[in-house]
Amino acid sequence: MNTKDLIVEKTLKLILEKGTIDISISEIRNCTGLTTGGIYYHFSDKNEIFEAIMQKYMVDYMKIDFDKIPLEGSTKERIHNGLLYILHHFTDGVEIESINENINYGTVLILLTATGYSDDEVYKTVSQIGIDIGIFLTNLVEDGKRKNEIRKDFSTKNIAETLYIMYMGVQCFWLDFPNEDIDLIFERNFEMTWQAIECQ
Amino acid sequence: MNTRQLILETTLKLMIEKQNSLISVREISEASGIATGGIYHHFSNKEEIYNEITERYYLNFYKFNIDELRQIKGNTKEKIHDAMVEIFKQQQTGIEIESIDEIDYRIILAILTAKGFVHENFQRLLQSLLNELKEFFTEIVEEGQKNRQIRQDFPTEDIVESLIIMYMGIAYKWEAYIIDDMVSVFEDNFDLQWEKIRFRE
Repeated sequence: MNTKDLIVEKTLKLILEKGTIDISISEIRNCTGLTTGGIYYHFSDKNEIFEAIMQKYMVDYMKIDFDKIPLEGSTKERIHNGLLYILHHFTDGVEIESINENINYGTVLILLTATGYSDDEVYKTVSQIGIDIGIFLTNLVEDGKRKNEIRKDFSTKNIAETLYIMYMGVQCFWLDFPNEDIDLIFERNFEMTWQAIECQ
Repeated sequence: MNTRQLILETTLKLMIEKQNSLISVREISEASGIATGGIYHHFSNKEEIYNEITERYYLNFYKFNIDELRQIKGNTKEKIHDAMVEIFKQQQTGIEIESIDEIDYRIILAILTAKGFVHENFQRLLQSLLNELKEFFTEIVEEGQKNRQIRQDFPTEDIVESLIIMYMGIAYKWEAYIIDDMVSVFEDNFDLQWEKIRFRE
């Protein structure tokens, strides 16, 4: 790992350990073994380190390549696998090389949230991904209606929203209750939601 | 407003202005007009101010008035509907802040999220809220299953879980700024939500 990445990772590790983004340069110096000069060679100030952290662990993390989502089979399978792919994308998080122990990525998100919302790029990325997931579901629902696999007596908007709400509920559950079996909760809720929207 | 309250609200306002939860005692003193000595008379350090703000404006936000929900009358569908509307209304209003007339409460949530999550009581609070909600909806769902208003082919706890997941999904969409009004999204969506759990022969 190059020095710049090392500083970013070690600072994130400190944030996780301390439970706050209130970190001093001297603490970063201690945990990286670098001198202040060595740190300032790569970053002009502490804010720049935080910006790099936000970029990697919030902005880049949020981006989903929807083309990569494997979509095969029936409408039910496609929606199920699509949502599960997105869920795992978010729960797996960004790999943090220098931390061996298993960390819950939710902790990273929570600790970075306050900084994240005041950061325009994070804010834009979050809203964009929100819109994109909505479009992704809308397309699948429309397709399912055409194939007579999804009921037509409810609007596409309604059905896509119901799926989206279920998905967000599961993701929120993961954040609030990290010890629960999130895949199991997803499966149970997906099945019940599917029964409400399938062609009756 | 008493001095203690003034210190808390001034600090919260500084957090909102700076979009940052790290505020110094000097800044609080300048903004409130209270000497640092006066601040330290009420709080032994900065952390204590942060802590009280977190408890009042973050932890309290997640509590709701279950007793009020128990007063709701009607058939199963109406009870579930009205209880959910009440919960969303309570949440969207947030905790009252005397010196701020109107604010999108999500701004405060975002600023305090990190502090809230590391607060020693937060996980316990979330767990007990979840249990209270579960208990509340279990009574309604059990009764609904008995009266053939709610499907009997899924266990009560799965039906209750689906209601809680729906609640969390709408709340989370709001917190993430994907939607702006929880009540109207819920109203638009409730008929289809009901389809999930309604009685089936």
